[in-house]
Amino acid sequence: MSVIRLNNRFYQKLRSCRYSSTVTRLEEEYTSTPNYPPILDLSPEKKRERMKDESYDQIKAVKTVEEKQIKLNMPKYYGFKSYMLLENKCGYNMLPMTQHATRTHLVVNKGLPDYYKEFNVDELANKLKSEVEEALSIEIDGYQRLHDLTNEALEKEDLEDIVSSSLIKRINRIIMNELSLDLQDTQVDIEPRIEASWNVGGIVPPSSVVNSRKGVPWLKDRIDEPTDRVMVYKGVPILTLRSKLPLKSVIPLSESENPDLDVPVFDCDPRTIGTTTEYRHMTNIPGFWPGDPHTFGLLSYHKRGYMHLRKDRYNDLNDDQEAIHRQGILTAFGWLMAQAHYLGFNTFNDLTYPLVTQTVVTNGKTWSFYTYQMNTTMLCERFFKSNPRRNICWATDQMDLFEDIADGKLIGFNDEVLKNLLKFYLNRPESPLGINLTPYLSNEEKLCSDYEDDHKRKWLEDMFKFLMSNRPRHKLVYEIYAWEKIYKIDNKTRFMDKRLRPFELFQHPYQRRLDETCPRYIPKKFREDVKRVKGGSYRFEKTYYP
Amino acid sequence: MRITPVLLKQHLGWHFYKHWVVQGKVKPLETGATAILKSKGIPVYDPKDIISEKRTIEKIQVIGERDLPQPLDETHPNWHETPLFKVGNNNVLLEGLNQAQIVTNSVKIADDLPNKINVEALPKSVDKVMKSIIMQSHVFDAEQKTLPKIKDPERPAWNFPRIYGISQERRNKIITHKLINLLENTSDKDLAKQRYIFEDLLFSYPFERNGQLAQLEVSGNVVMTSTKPLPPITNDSLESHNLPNIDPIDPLITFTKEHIYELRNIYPIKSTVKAHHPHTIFIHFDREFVKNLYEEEVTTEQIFGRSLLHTFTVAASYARQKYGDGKTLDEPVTVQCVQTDGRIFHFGVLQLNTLNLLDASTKNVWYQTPLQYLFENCEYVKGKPVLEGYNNQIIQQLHSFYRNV
Repeated sequence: MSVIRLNNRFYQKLRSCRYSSTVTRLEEEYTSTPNYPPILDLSPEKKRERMKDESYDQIKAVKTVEEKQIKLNMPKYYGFKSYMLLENKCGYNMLPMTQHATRTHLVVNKGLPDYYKEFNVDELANKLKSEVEEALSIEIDGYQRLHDLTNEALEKEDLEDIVSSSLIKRINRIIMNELSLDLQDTQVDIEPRIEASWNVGGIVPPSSVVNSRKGVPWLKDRIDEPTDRVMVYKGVPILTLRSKLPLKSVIPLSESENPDLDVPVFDCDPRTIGTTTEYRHMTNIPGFWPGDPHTFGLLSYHKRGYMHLRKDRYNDLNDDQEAIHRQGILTAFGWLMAQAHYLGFNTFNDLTYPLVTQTVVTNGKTWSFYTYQMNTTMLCERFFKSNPRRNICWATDQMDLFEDIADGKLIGFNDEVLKNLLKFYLNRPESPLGINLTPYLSNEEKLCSDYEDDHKRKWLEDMFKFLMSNRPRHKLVYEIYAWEKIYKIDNKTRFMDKRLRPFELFQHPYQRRLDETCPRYIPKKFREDVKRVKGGSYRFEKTYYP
Repeated sequence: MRITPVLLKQHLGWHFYKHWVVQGKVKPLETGATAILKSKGIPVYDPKDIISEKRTIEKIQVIGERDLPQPLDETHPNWHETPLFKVGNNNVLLEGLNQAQIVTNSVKIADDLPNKINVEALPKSVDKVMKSIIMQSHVFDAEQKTLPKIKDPERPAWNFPRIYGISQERRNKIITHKLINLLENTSDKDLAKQRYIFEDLLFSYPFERNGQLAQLEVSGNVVMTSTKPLPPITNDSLESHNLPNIDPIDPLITFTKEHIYELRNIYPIKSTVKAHHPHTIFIHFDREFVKNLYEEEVTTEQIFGRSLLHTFTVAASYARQKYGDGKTLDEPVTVQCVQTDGRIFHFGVLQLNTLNLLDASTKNVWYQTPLQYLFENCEYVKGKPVLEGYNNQIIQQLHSFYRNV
């Protein structure tokens, strides 16, 4: 039987195939030196790595800040299982885990690093000393607060936080008024909401992953290979200062690759030391929404009232000092991570220049100072070993601003604390020459409000705010109820029931992607250009998932 | 899993039925033990008579971590037979400013600021910062809390989706702090050193009016104090000015009547503090909390009345601290006030001449501006942050208040 009779398109194909054109095409294909395609490693690991790299490049190519955040959240409709690193909740021995999760090399000194030697603050400190002393005495015994008069029963940690908050506002006001900082450049935020999320590798896989790998023949060699975990930082500083320009780096970026900067490895599951988990969308909020030009943090003050709870529970001074270091590292890293997201970087696309911030942890009497330089955000498993950069935190020991109070007067005022604080204020941001601050954002559209299309702008804005709010979905999240576990899974007592639940139908609701949902229905009266065609996509709102 | 829903997944009736089917067929076996025991003369008892013992359950008094709250009745230690008429932070007066004038014995001189307070134009850079402050407090702050329920009077049963955003309380807090920061930044350094800022204070001033006890108890959300008291604004004769007449309404109407109370004079800042003289009070206004007793919307007049009552309470409690319990003052006390919800601004100045609130010869003096708006609209419009209709008068007036020495 001839080919033409077997396949009736063969004759048309034969006609379209012209010998002459084939010749010219072949000629174009030849080059003087052979140009081979890259030889790809076809092992499963390398294939997976290439797939991951491709998805990270996709995130890098997304144009605006908001879309990047939506893109990060695309894989999970119900959010990621996240390890909650909270500012004011610290269990025993949490410092190594925090250093691992933030890849921070900690340097503890008596004072601030040499970087601050250029600032001469003796004169200024003498000038402001009396004012700060007065502010302290007002806070200690100058007025009755609302809770004193309403006989509200407050815990001692809350009382301490109230006093430290109002003292910090007072001291900040004194210093800012003295320095006359330009308000067009420096912003003061009171109790801003700060959240950050990032992936961390190098942690042993959970038992469910180990068990599933055991069942797959080609994964048997990689049963204990670490997996990514999503870490979430949530905190509320007393007060933050931010600016339009970044602080200059303490050390150059290349020095952060020095292998001598050791970072402890904590490869256990963070839940082993008291961290809890939640299902959440990845949120990155440095206290304000994209669009505010003051994107670089200068200084943040944090409360430490929660130390009272630790005293009752652990009563270990050494661990208390570590807990404060942990707070200093975590709060600085969390804030910088959120800022980095607004500049277009994320946990898969690394920083191109270092970010620096300064942190103060205080209860009014005891002060700790931290300078943090973030060199890398790329802590995910894919680059966990190959990424040589480390973040660095320079910490001071705890210092007392005064020794004691007698008859409402301060005894033993420590000038060093005030000087350290003033140095933080004098460290002004500088315009970085020749550096593109937002290399991974589009030049035309850096924010979704830059788009021309009204509908797209509104849709992206709503979706962004919805994800950032982490508000519960209208329908409750899927879960296997206890009674189902007992009567359906562990003991098959209900074989007569119809199989309707996802675990009976081999479905995995937690693997649902963000866009796997029906778009919003538009009632007829709100539709534009109603076509008299049944079906078609115009009944539903257009979506703009990145 | 929620605890509330009734599951009924495991059908107990069905299970009980199945159990009954099986167990119903079981017959008790006759072992012959009773007959053997009886034959040997051993008495046989019914096991129920021996095993089931009668228990009496004793009541245990549970002592909690904390004492139970006192019941709010005659047994309360602060219960008094004579009722107290009280105005708190969230009350407003029925007749608004007119009623407040009668209660505080104040006459309104003009719908403007006193001549002594000069309102001057400011450089354009200040307006620029001001605009960014508005944007930061109304748009760019990242707080996301459930906002109050939206109600449509046309469709009262309609449930709108709850919106997440910046709460009114936070807006008030941010804008006040940033405004004070701006005022200090644009003023003289020495002036800023004379002023202190206090937050979350409570002022209380009790008084008697025609045999009825009354107390004003308000919180100055943010209070600016100064090292020197403000001088009087006017020395003119007040004979031509009269108090308004709200007959037949009682001046203490919509004061809440309470039997559990403590009469106390509170000016919370101690006189040992260098700057303890009240200068300007910033009152926050939040429609969610500040309400009429009878559900009507709070009117502009009532907002004015609130400003006067708050300012009077601060001035009067300060005068008590300074001059003791007498009703005449050696020198008048002057206090300025700014009431705001972030968008509306109301400025007032009170000169307290007397604490005798029924004195027809001496009266207190009240100046105020009309209600002003800082802007028309500031929100995301189609995904774009927008600020429309900015009013530069507000910052100028605030600045003149701040500079007033």
